[in-house]
Amino acid sequence: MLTGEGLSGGHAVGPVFVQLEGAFDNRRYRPEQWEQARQDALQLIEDKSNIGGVAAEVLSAHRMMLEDPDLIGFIREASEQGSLLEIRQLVQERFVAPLEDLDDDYMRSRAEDIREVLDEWCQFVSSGSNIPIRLQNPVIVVGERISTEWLLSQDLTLIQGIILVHGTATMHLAIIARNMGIPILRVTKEVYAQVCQAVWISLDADAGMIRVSSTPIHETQHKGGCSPRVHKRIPVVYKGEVVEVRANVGSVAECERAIHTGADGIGLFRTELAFATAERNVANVADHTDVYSRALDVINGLPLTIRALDIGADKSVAGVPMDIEPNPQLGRRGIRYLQRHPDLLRTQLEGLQSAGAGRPLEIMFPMVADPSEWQFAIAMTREIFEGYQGPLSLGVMLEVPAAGLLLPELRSSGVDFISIGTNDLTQYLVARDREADWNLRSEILPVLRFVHYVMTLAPVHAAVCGELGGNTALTPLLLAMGVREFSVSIPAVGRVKERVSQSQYIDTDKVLSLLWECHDDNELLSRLHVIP
Amino acid sequence: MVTCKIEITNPVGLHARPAAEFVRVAQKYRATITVRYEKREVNAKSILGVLSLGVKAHEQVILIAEGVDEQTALDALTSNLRSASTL
Repeated sequence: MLTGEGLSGGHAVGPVFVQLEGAFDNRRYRPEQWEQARQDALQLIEDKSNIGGVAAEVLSAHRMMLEDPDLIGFIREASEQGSLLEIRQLVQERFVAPLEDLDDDYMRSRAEDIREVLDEWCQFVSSGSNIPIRLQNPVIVVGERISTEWLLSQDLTLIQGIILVHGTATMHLAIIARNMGIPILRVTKEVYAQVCQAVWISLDADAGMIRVSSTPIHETQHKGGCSPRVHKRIPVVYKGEVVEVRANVGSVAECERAIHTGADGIGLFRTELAFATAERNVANVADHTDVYSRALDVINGLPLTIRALDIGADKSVAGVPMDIEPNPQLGRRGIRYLQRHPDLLRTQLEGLQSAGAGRPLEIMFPMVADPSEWQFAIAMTREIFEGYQGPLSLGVMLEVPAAGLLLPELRSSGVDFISIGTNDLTQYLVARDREADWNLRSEILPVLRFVHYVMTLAPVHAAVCGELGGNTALTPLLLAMGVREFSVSIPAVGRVKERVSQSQYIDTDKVLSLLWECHDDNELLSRLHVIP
Repeated sequence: MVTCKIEITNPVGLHARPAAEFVRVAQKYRATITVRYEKREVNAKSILGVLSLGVKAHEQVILIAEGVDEQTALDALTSNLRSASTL
């Protein structure tokens, strides 16, 4: 058993992939070639600029270093006479060593960052291009140093773990890895040499242990008798953008389960239950505050979208008066109901405001069909949240087709996001009760085409929170249409994440017309499943 | 040439994000701007230079600006350092 120091927690099992440090030639390059290489390195960062989150901050720090006037001037002068390796050495002495010498972990990490940026630059000078090998299978990456740029050029879901010799817990690579749930172990050169010889590795970065093997290690063998682990939250990426896979829940206990399952947050928190209390006829502000603040505590900084009370039609809440209507499905549901009972919404929003206590909040309103209903919702929300310290994002649950067609108008009146509730959207699009037997071909296709069309009307952050989002046959299509968030039932979180990470770009129009040629539901399903 | 002495009140010192923001402000001006700390001087427009000073909280630095917009540059930088301390 070998040991190391964990820089990012977790455990992993997998085959070894040795990432050798880039070898540089030692020729002389003209100052213009250094400048061109610098531009190429900046372009590489630019290409990845939509990655978001911590990684984006790291890249922005790297860009700042590549644009540092002292560094540029120093290299321009040095390149008049020095060779590549000489210049690299001089830069290290001039810029890296002073930081390494400071008695400060933070500074030593920045020293690593400069070294990384410098090596990236040198790589471009010496090769003219820098296209790394792309990983195809899940591996444990082993290298003396692993650069952030290299890591971000890979499909992160394939990187099970990292073993390196040089690094600190505060280096950018470690920050990203922790955020992505990738364990990192730092080892000595001797251990590194042994690890490089192995075929398979099992590593536990929490305990600092590594087991090497010349044959594949099976997961069960590794876990042997351990209590079931909480699933790691591993973000998935599509075309360089992080796609959130969140969960639909109706209670605080479900929030907790969702987070333990590896969900990236809650995309739909149904609040009908929060209105029903044993003590009172209907929940008061304190009751609401209690529920939402516990939910926010449980999700601990992950995003949470709360849906305002959605009753009417098939949903009722004890203690909340219902209107008798001849056609409740098309009646006063969701926001329409709240417009007639504004005190219920006010109580709920006041509870949310006090539970939020400056934490980020996302609130969405159900059944919004036109901008005037939306105006009612945001006027009250803005009044109650006046002076709120944290970020507040407001959206509509897209269930009524009219709201999709009015997306540009809704966007310009302050809608920050849409969450497509495909269950009701389908029943309203095809005018058939959602409980009735449904036919794939005549129901899914109009919905897909509708979503596709709506997404072209105005740029907006779009989530799918209905059952369609949990159907992994449709995941590549929805991604290609621009959906960047899925909110699904808790058990579906894992498989949707997996499907997102495997999805390639497809031509939506082509696939949609292909589907139309199917003769029955079976054929349709099988065609959907072969979409890459 | 204008100069000014200022205490770094940000609890992390002139590190990380405060350093990056300070440098970004400096880069907006044409004046040559120098940060002097203990006996060393670095270019305020260089993140590598500013980081290498390793200025900790509650220590003093001297800012020296020289050029057409030296006074506005100095004002912007001192206000940047003061506002950063309240974060």
